[in-house]
Amino acid sequence: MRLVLPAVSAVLALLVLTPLLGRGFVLNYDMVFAPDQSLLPDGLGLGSALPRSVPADAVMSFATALLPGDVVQKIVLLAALFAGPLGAGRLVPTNSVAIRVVAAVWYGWSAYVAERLFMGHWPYVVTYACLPWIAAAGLAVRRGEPKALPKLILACAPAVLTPTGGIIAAVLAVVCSGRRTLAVTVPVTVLLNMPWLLPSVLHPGGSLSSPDGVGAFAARTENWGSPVTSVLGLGGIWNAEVVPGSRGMPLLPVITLLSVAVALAGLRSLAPRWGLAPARSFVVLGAIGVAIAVFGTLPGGGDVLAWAVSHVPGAGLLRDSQKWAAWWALPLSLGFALGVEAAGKYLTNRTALVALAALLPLITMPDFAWAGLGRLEVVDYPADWSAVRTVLAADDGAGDVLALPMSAFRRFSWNGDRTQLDPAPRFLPRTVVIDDVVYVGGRPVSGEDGRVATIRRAMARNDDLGAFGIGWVLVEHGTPGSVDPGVLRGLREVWSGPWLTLYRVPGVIAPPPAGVPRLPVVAGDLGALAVVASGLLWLLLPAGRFSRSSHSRTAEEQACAH
Amino acid sequence: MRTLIGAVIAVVAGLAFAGGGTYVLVNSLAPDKAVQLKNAPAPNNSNPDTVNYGTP
Repeated sequence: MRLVLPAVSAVLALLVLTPLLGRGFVLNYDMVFAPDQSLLPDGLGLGSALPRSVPADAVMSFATALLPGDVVQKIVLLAALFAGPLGAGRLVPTNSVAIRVVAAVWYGWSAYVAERLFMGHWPYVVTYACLPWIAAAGLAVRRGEPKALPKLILACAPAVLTPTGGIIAAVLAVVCSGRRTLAVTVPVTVLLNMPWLLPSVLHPGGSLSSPDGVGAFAARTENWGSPVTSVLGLGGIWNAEVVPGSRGMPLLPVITLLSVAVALAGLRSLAPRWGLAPARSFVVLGAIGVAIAVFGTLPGGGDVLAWAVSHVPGAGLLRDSQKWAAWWALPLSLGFALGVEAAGKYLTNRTALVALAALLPLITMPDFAWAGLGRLEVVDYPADWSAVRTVLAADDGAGDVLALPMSAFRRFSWNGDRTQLDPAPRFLPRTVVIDDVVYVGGRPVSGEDGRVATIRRAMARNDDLGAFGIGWVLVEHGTPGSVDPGVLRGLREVWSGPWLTLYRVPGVIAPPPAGVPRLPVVAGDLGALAVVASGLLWLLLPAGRFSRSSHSRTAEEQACAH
Repeated sequence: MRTLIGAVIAVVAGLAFAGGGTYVLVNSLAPDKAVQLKNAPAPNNSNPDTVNYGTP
C-alpha cells in the first residue's frame, strides 16, 4: 500500500508529460530552456533588468553544465508534477490511503498547475510542488521534531528560484512553523531569498513597475462565474490563451462551490489532528491567497494596486495576482479529501464515493492530459542558434548583444507559431538586451529596464550603438516585427542563416552601464547557498545524532533531578 | 443524513459526467477545425508587427 501514492503521483505526471519526454525543448510563453545556458550577470540579478528569473537562470546555468538543457527541463517538469501530488497526499492527517489519493489528485490535477505550465511559469509549478513538503516540514518544526529545520530548508530551496516563489514558500514555512520559532524561520527564509532580494533592493533604477499592467494581469473570469469562483477553483490566470478549454464548462462554478463547501467541512477535522493554531493559520493563509488573487478585480482594487505598483518598491509582484492562490491549493485539496473521509462514514458504499472524488478533477479538466492535448510540443532549435553561439563564444571583443526586432516575445514557425520568450538571452554566451515592453491584448505594458529605453531612443536617432555597450546586433527572422534598415547601416554582417543574422558593431565599444553592485549580491548568493548546504549536511552528517543525544541526556538529567 | 449525502453525490456525479462528457464529445467532434487551427497564429497575434504576450 505504501507504493499506491507514489504510483498515483507518477501516473498523474506521466499523463501530462509523456508526449514531451523525447529529446528537444518545450518552448511556450515564458518557458525557455537552452542546451547549455551560460552564467551571465543577468542570471545573478547583476544586469540592468529587474531580477525576475533570479536565481533560476543561474541555477539552470549550473544544471545545463552537467546535463543537456532539454534533459534538465524534462527532469524539472517531471519532478514537479510528481512531487506536488505526492507531498499533498502525504500531508493529509489520515490513515486511509484512498483519502491520501483524493488529496493527491486534487492537488496535482489542478487548474493552477495546468495554466501555469501552459504559461511557461515552470518556477511557479516547482514552488507549487514544494508547498506540501514545506508545510509538512514547518509543522514538524512547530512540534520540535529532530532535523525538522534542515528538512524545511531543503523543501524551500527549489521554491526560491524566483521572487514570487520565494515569498510564497517563505510565508508558508513561517506560518506552519508557528510563532515560537519565528526567531529561526524568519532569518532562514530571508537568507534563502537573498539571491533575488538584494538585486531588487540595490537595483539602480529602483523596483517600481508600470501600473499599465495591473488591469491586464488581473485574475479573470473563465466562465459565467466570477473571478472569485475561478480563483476558488485554482484557475483565473490573466491570460485567456493558456486556459484549458474545459475551464469554460458551464457546470464548473457549481462544482467549484460544492468542492469548497466540502473542503470547508473537511477542514474542521484538521484542528483536532494538527492542533488549532496550525490548522487555523494554514486555512487563513489560503484565504489570504484568494483575497490577494481577486483584490484587483474588486471595485477600487485595481486603483489601489495601480498606486501601489507605481509607488511601493516591489509591489509589482502583486501584478498577475492569481499566482498567490497557490496558498489556497493545499487547504482546498486536504479539506476536500477530509470532507470525503467524513462523508464516507455515513455511507455503506464508500469505495464509489472515494473513486468519484478522486476522478472528479480528471473528469472536469480532461484537456490537461497529454500535454494539454497537444498544446505543448517538443521542438529543436534550428542550427542557426548554435552557429551564432559559436561565433559569439569565439570572439574576445567587448560588447553585449542587441536582439531585434524589438520585442520580448517571438513566434517562429519552427515552434508551431507559439508565443515564446526570446531565447537569445539564455541561448547565447553573452548578455543579450531584449525589449521589455510587452503587448497584452494589443496594448503595450511598459518595462522597467532603463538601458532598453535608452537604446530604443538611440536607435530612433540612428546613434552609434557601441556607445551604449552594444557590440553585436542579432536579427531574428520569421517572427513578427520589423527592423529599421537605418539601424543596420554601417554594421558588419558576421553570420547569416535562414533564422538569424549576426552583425558586429564597428568602432569602440563602451562598457555596459553599471548595474547592481556585485559584492553584496554575491555575498547574498553565498549566504543562501551556505544555508542550503548546511541543511543538507545537517541531514546527512552525524551532527543530528549529537543533537539528539544531547536532548536525551538533558531528559535523563531532568528525570534524575526529579 | 446518509440519504442526503447519497443524493448530493448522485446529483454531482451525474452532472459532472454528463457535463464533462458532453463537453469532451462536442470538442472531439470538431477535428477539422482543430487541425486547421493547430499551426495558425493565435487570433490576437494577427498584427505582423508585435507578438502579444497574451489576451486578458
